[in-house]
Amino acid sequence: MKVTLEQVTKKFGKTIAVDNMNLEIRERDFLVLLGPSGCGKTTTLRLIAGLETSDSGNIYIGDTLVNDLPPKDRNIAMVFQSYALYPYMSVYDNIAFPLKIRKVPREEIRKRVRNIAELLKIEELLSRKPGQLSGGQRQRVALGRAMVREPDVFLMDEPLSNLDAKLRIHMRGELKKMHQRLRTTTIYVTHDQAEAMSMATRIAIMDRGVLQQVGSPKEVYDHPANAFVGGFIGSPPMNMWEGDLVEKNGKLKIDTSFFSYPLPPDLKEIAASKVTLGVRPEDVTIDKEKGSNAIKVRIDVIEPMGRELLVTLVSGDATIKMITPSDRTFRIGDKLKIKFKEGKLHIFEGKPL
Amino acid sequence: MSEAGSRRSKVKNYGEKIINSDKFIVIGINLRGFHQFLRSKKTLGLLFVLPAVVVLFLVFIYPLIYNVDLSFNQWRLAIGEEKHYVGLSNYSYNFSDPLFQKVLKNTLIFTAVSVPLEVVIGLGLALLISRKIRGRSIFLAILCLPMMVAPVIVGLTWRWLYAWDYGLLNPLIGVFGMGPTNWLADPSIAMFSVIVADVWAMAPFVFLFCYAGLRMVPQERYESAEIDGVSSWQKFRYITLPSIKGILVIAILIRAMDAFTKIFDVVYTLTGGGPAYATEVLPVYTYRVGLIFFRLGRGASIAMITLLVTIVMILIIRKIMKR
Repeated sequence: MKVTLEQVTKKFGKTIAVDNMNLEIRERDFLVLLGPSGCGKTTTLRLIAGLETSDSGNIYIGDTLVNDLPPKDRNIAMVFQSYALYPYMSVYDNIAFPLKIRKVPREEIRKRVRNIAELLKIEELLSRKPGQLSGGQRQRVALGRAMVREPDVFLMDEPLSNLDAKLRIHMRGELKKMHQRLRTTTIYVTHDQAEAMSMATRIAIMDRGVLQQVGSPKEVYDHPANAFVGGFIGSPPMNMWEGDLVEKNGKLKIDTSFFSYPLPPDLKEIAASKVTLGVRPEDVTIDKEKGSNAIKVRIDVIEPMGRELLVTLVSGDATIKMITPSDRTFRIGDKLKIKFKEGKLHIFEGKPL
Repeated sequence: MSEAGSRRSKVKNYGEKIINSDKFIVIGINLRGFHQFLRSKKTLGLLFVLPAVVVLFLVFIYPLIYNVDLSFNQWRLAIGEEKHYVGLSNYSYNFSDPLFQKVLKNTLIFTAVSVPLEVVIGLGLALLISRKIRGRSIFLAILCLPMMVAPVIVGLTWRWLYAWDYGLLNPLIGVFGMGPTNWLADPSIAMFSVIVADVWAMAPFVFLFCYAGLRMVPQERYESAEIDGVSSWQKFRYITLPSIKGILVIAILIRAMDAFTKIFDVVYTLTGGGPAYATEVLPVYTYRVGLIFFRLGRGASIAMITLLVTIVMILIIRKIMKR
């Protein structure tokens, strides 16, 4: 089932939580709403769930306009950050609750809860209370309660953020497997870009209520639409410098206050003269050619990260992060020349973040 | 080299130094022993509890034991009688005494009517106030006011309200065409009037408990249920009630114990137990028998019966609420 948002706006008092949002979530998508806290991603999810009502705009689930439909008639299921399990009910009763409320026959409930429990590998926990479960198990029960109704759309609000790092990575894989199996349209809210990159079929990045970019993880990583997206996605974050676009003898280059760097001619269509140059740390390489326009830098910090080294370079007041294979030995204070990989330069209009 | 090393270790080891010196040997060992005695978790724990145990013994356990003993004795102070053992005759007298039976029945009725009323009203108000409403803090303050009034004042205030000639209530029901009622002097109405005053004073107590409980229920439980499509009644039945059950049980237990064993001031100031013992309850009756008629033995036996009935009542309430 696809979900469509048309010019949706939601205000809380004077703050605009969601600003004129247009978004289409395709059938079978695992769409991750990604952004820093307070960007409006949870509000967007709650608008789709019907827990909030929009001030203007339309929301469709499938082809049905759901603006005025209460949550229960939208055939969605939601997994909350806190899991929202009922501590006084057994795991079985928690999972069965949505069916019980809908007056599904008892035998049918039993069958469906058993199926879900088997799928999530929690059969032996059915008679326990949530208080007797670990965080990961509780997470599965919450998932089970959402799945048991076989909804058209899953809504998940940071469901992994209460788990420890190791379990979170494990559950990421489980959720992804689950989605590949059930193929139910899923909208997933997180502020963790690694989570988004690893699970999403598409990512929608938001900032201050405004949708910044929608695309596959590869698209948003390789072609960020603006400086915000470039800076938010990727770890360590993208290097960014403010500069002026200058054209001289038919050749394009960028002048920053620290260095000047030639640009490929295909970037000519950018109209603004004040721009931001962005380069990911892994696209910074050491230049061994003589007489090129390489940037002269000095090594300031070396952070070994196992397979790679994260090297902080300085040139004047500018710092440049570089990721390089750890087979080379560097020493702090070494002087180097660097260049940026061709085709990996990002030019954004306006100032960096 | 090795000698210097061993000397250094001697200096370092403080305990050994004390034991090696003849002068300190006794004190050293004693202090160590005492220190160890203090440091054991069990003793330290006991020491912390001790003051409370002493106070508890003086004001609770000793009087209780003394009271048990007293209840098996006859000791009428008014006629200067010596305390003497009479076995269970105080108890058997009580149970054959129609007045005692009436008082016990009155107290049970009072508890069985006022506590459920307080719970229903308190919980209802808490459910209303915990919604998103304007001026919530003002309502909260107003609703808590009766609880801050001393029980004696509650009694006196309601006596004025109920007064046959100058009270506020009779003109009020006059508006609806009803004749003036003798709220406190009519034996068939007096108990009802006492219960109303007590519910007015004590429902806020239950309200406050329930309100605190409701505030602690995570909002997601309701939102999740809303997505599942629960009705308002189901919300109350499956989420609100089980979520605050623990707190509700405590409120009910406290109120039931208070209603049965401590309802004194309101009754004493409103009706004094009258008319014709229509509102006489166990605490007032115990006071009357023991400290007005000075039949200490019988008074003690009534207090004992009150205690036993309370314990049975609490056990029953707990059993019901556990389900």
